[in-house]
Amino acid sequence: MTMNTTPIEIEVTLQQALCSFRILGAASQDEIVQRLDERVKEKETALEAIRNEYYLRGGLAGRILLRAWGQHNADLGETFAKWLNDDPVPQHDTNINLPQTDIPPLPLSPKHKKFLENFFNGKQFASYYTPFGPEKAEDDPRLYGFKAPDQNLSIPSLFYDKLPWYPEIAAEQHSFFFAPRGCGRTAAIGQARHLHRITGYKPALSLYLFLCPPFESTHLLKFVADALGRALLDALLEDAYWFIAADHEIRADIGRFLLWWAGDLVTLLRRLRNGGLPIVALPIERANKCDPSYDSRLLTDVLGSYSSLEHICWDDTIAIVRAARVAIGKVYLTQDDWDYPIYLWVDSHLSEGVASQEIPRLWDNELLRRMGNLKIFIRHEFSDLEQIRMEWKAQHLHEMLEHRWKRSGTDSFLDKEKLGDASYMLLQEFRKDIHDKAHSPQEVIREGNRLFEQLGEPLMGDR
Amino acid sequence: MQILRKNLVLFLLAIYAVASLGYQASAPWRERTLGTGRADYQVASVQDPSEEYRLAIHYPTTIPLEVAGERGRPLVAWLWGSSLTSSMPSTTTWRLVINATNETRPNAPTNVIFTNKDGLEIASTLTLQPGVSEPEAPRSILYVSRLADGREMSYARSNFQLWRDDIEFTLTPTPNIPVIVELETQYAAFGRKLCDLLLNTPALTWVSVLTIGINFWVKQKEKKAAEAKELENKIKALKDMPIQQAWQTYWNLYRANEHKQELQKAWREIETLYPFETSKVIRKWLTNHIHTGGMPPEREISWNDLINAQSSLSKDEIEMLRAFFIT
Repeated sequence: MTMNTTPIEIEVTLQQALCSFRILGAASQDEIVQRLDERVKEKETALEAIRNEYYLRGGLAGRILLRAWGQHNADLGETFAKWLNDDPVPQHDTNINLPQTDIPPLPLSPKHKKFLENFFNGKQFASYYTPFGPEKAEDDPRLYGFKAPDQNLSIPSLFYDKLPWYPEIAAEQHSFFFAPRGCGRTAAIGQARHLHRITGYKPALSLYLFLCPPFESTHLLKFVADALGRALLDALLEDAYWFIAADHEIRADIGRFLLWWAGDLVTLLRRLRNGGLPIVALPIERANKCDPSYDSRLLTDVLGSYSSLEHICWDDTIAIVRAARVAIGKVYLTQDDWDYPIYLWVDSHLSEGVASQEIPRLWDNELLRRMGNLKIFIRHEFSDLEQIRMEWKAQHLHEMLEHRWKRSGTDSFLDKEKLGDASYMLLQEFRKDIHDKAHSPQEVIREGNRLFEQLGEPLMGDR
Repeated sequence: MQILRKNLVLFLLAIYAVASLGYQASAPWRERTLGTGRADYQVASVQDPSEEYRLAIHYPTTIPLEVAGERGRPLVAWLWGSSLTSSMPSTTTWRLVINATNETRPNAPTNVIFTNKDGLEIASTLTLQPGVSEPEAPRSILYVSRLADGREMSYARSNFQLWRDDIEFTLTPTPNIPVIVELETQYAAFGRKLCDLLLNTPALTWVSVLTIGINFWVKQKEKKAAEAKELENKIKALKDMPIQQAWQTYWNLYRANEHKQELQKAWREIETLYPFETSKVIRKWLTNHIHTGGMPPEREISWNDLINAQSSLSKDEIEMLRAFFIT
C-alpha cells in the first residue's frame, strides 16, 4: 500500500478517487471509500486537502464521498458531518436551474424594446434597467436571484414583497387568497416557490398546481402527481445530493415515482437534459481532470437502477411527498428538526361559475390538506369562505414604485437637462402620486413605461 | 470411435498412403535386410588372350542356399543384375554358363533347375550380346531352382563360366559391380509380389496422399465456415440478450476468440443502440471485480483488453482506475 505522506501525493490520491468514483458511478461508493481509506494513511494531515478537494471543489461526487467516507471511518465522520452541515443549502448559480415555471419573454412592444436596447447600447438585458421594468414582476428573471450575463453581482429583484399579505403566503398554514387580476399573484407564488424549494433559502417542498376542470379525485391526483414530479425534477436539476444521499428505501420510492411520472427512464433523462444537466453516455476523455458535470452520471446510474411504479394512488403520493421531505431534511440540516414544510400552491383561471362550484370543495379536500399547507389563489370572491385579500392600496402601490425606482437606480440616468424640466417633473410627479384609477402594480407599471417611452426620447441623444 | 467411423475411408486411405510410401521408401532397406542369402558378388575381369577386351562378371565363390519353406518347394533365386562391360568384337559370341554345385557335398551331384521369373525352365547358359553394358544388362536373368530331388541343401555353389566357342576363360574375381542374388521362399515371394502389386504403385500412393490432403483442406474450409457461422449466431444472440448478460458473454468470447474484430463490431452496435445501459453495465461489472485489496485479478480483467473491447469507458478512464486501484 502506498504511504501517502507528501501533500502532492495525498492530493493526487484524492483526485484519483474522485475521478474513479465519477467514472464507475454511484454503485462503486463502497469500493472507492475502502480503497481511499487504505491509501490515505495520515488522515489528520490530509484533512485540509480533503476539504479542498471534496467539500469545496468536489461537487456532488465530493460530498457523496465525504458522507460515505465519514460513515466508513468514524474518526473522520464527525469532521465531515460538520463540514456538510455548515452549508446546508449549497449556493448554486441558478442560471440553468430555474423552476419549471417557464418565464415568458418580456411583453414589451417592439418599439419599446428597441428604444431600451438603443438606450443601453444594444445590451439585451438593458430592458431590465428601466425604472418600471416589465409590467409583470414574474417576467423579471432577477426575481429568482438570477445573475446578469455579464455581471458578477446579482442584480436585485424588482419584486416587492413588503405587502401585508405576503407573510400569509409564506406561513405554514392553509390559506385561501382572493387574488384579482394584476395583483401580483403569479409573481408572489413564483417568489414563494423559489424561496421555499428543496434547495431554497427556506427549504421546503413546493408543489405548484395550475388546476383546470374536472376536479374529480382521479383527475386531481394526476395534477398533484404531476406537480410533485416537476418539483422533484427541479430539485434534482439544482442539486441531486439530497436524493443520492437519501436512505435506500426513500431513494427507491422517489426514483420509482419519477420513472412513473416521466413514463420511462429515457424520457426522464431527456427531461433532466432539457433542464440543463449534461446527461450523456460519453466516456470522459481526459479523466485526470474529471469534469464535475459528470456528476450527472451518478444521478443517471441511481435512477437507472429502479423500475417504474405501475400505478399510483393518493396514499402513495402523500408517502412520496413525505419521503422527499425526510430526504431533504437529512441532508440540509438546520437547527430545528428536519420537519420541512410542504406547500401546495394552487392556481387557476376558472370562470366564476365553475369556481363557485369547485373551489369550496377543493378548499375542504382532506387529502390535499393532509399532504401539506394548502394555498389557493382565486380571482373570485367567496362570501362564505374566509379569504385573504390581495388588494393594493395607493400606499402600497407607491411603496412598490419607490422600491422599483430605487432598486433600478433610475435617478442616475434621468438627465434633467436632456429631458427638460417639464418632462422631468412629469416623471417625478407620476412617481409620487399614483393615479387614482390604478388598482394594481400592472396598471402603474404600464403607465410608467408609457410615460418613459413618450418622454425619454431626448435621453437618447447621440447614441 | 465415432470419428473413426465417420472418416473410415480417409483413415484407410491414410494407412494405405503411409504403408505404400513406407514400402516404396524402404526398398533399399528391404533389399539389404529382408532378402535371405544375399550375397555380393565379385566381378571377374578377363582378358582374351587373343584380343583386347574387357569383360566383367561378378560372382561369389558361393551362393548360400538356405532351406526355407516346405520341403519340395522350390527356392527361387534371381540375379538382380549383372554388370557386364565388354568391348567384345561384334563377331564374337560369348556364352555365360552358370553352374550350381552342392557346397556341403561338393561331390554330390547337383541337379539345379534354372527358371526365369515366370518359373519356366531356361538354360543355364546365356548368350551374351556384344556391347551390352550395365545398366542395360537384364536384372533378372535366371532363377535357380531347388534341387529336383527335393533333398535339403544348405549351400549351393554357383559359378560362372565364360565360354567363347570352346574356350573357357578363367574368371578371376575382382571387386567391381556386384551381382546380387536374393533368395526367398515362395511365401516370401508371394508376399513380395502382393506388396509390390498393392503398395508399389507410386501413382496410387500419391492419389491417396492428394485425396487426404484435399479432404483435409475441404474439412478445414468447412470448419472455418462452421466457426464463422457459429460466431455469427453468437453475435446475433448477443444482440438479443439482456445487456448485462450480453456484456459478460461478449467479454468471455472476446478474451478467448480469434475473431476479435467481428465481436468488437457487434458490441459497438449494441453500445450505439444502448449507450447508457452498456456504460452502466460495464462500470458495474468493473466495480464488482475490484476486490477489497484493491487489486483486480489480472486473470479476470485484462486492462488492455478492456480498453480495446469497449468504448463506454475511455482509455483515460481505465488508466485512471488502474492508477487508483492497483498499487
